[in-house]
Amino acid sequence: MRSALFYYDIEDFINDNGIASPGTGIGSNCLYNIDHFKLYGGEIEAAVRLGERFRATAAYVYQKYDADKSGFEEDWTYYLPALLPKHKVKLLARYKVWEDGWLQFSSRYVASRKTQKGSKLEDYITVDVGFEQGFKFNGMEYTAKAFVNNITGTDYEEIAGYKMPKYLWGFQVGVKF
Amino acid sequence: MRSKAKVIFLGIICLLIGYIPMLGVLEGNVSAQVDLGEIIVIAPQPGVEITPEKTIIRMDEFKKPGEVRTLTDVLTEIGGIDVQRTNPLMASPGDEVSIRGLNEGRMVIEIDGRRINHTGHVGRYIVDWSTLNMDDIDRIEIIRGGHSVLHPFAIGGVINIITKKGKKTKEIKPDISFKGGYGRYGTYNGSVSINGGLYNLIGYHFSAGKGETDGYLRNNYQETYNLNGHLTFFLPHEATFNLGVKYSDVDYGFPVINDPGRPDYDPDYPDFIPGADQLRHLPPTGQLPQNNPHWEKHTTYLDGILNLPLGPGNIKLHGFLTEGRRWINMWRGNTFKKDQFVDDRTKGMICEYRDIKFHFLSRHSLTLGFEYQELGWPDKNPIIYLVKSAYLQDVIRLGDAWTLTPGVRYYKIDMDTYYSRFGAGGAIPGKKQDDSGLYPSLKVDFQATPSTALYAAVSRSYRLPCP
Repeated sequence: MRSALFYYDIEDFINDNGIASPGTGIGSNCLYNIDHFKLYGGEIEAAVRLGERFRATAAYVYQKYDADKSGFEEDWTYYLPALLPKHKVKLLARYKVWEDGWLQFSSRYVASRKTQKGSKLEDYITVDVGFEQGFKFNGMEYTAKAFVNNITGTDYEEIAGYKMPKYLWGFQVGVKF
Repeated sequence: MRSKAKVIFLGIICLLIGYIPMLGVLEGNVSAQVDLGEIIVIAPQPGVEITPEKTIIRMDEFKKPGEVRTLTDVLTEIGGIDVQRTNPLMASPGDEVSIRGLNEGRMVIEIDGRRINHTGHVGRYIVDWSTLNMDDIDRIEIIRGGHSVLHPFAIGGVINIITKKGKKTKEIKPDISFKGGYGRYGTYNGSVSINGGLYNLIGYHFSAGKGETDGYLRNNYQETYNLNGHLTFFLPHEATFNLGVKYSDVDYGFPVINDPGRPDYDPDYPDFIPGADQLRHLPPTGQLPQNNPHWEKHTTYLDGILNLPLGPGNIKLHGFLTEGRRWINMWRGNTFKKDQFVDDRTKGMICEYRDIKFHFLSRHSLTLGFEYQELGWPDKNPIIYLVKSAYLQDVIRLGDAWTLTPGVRYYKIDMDTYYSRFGAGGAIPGKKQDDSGLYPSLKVDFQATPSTALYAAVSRSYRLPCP
């Protein structure tokens, strides 16, 4: 397990809105200086093995920011850290079903966060599941894998304005020799 | 509440290492972190190794449900990294990646230890994630925080991509692999790689790949070609000389308006209305469906690395170049602009003498180096930023339990940027400035038990004042 606290105290933070200003559309208008900007939080990351079959990596992050008023704020300006969640959990795990056959699992919890236009995006949990089988034949190593991402059909937005897809299925095959 | 948290935190830091006052220049930074505990688990998740210093992802072993084609496919699974994707089917130029709330303008993305970040002019494409395919990648190292002076401009952290460079072997037969996949929304990919060596003299790795998706949003298609090549010459006295190239050609369709209130609405695609958030300076989200708004981007990463054991340490000379060329086709208002060309180039050299161990300083391991970088826009202003920096780091072992790592980096920056008119008109070029300063760092490691390590670090960092 690795755990850490972090604290950033930044002078003269160049804030980039990532968008051209409305109206003029002039890109240079989207950058301005913030005298004092602070970021702080904590993170925990762990790798776990339970028995011969289950292995996982799990992580939790908490992060927060404080920004001085610059006088350049408009109703369309934002801070990038404000678009990120305060709480976030990630889990990546695999379970050995039989010889060279692994069930794979990935899940993410992302807490609510702001949008560029000042509204709020809801928190969400996504789940991805896959299965991979490896086998050897004639001195060659084969793998076959199938997966479904967002298998629970969660309605969510990573970037505000449009939803992410559901039930993203796919498969992959490979050979090494 | 805020000031209380700060006092408590700095109190902990003071107990361990003292407090270095902040002296901000343009964008000065003080970061500090305290590790609460470190237990290195034996045989953790295959392909993911967590150490006190970094998280290492070994690509041949890393598994997840889904494709692992580009760097962001990996980073979405790693703790402490935020990936905000335009399109989860394939890494796109509109993706944003952050560590501790700081994006690639405040962290370093490296290939084999050298920075690939551009200036970000005309679109803030400091790093284009769609160009970083994994076909030739051996491992990814993620350092959180900016306490290592060995990496320039690292505030949020470092993501270092280590490439495969071939093998030193007498075995003529190489390792060959093929991979292919297919998925929803017409998404497919295929790649081939070959890894081997000749007569213990030359190692090689070559790979090629192609990926394509129709996209989830309307017109948000993508077609990507990748070519990678690495040659390693094994020289006398354990020296090596490596040449590497990564090339990608990305044809990316910008998502277009798909509004049920418009006559050109296509019900086969999700709604996409003007005003969606945009994390990068892609063309505005109000792109019309007509004329296929898109860009084509060619990106080349070139590297030449000489490693040479010399005296009590090892010399590393690393020359590098990153070049991006993009042709943009987009709507600006009611006018469709065709084939607008923008290019960017970062090139430089690192000279490093590392892991120097003198007999009379047996507890010390010194590394010193010099780095030169030019970042610019070849078509208009080839050197927007000229960066010269020198660094020195010492790793001091104090008994079995304690390790001190002091370091310092000196920057000298020459800038040729522009005057902003803040809404009154376009930018005016010709703003020349320079800046310089010393940026110290100190890290203390304590091995409390064989399985638990604690560390604290405090550093002052500099950020290149580009978008």
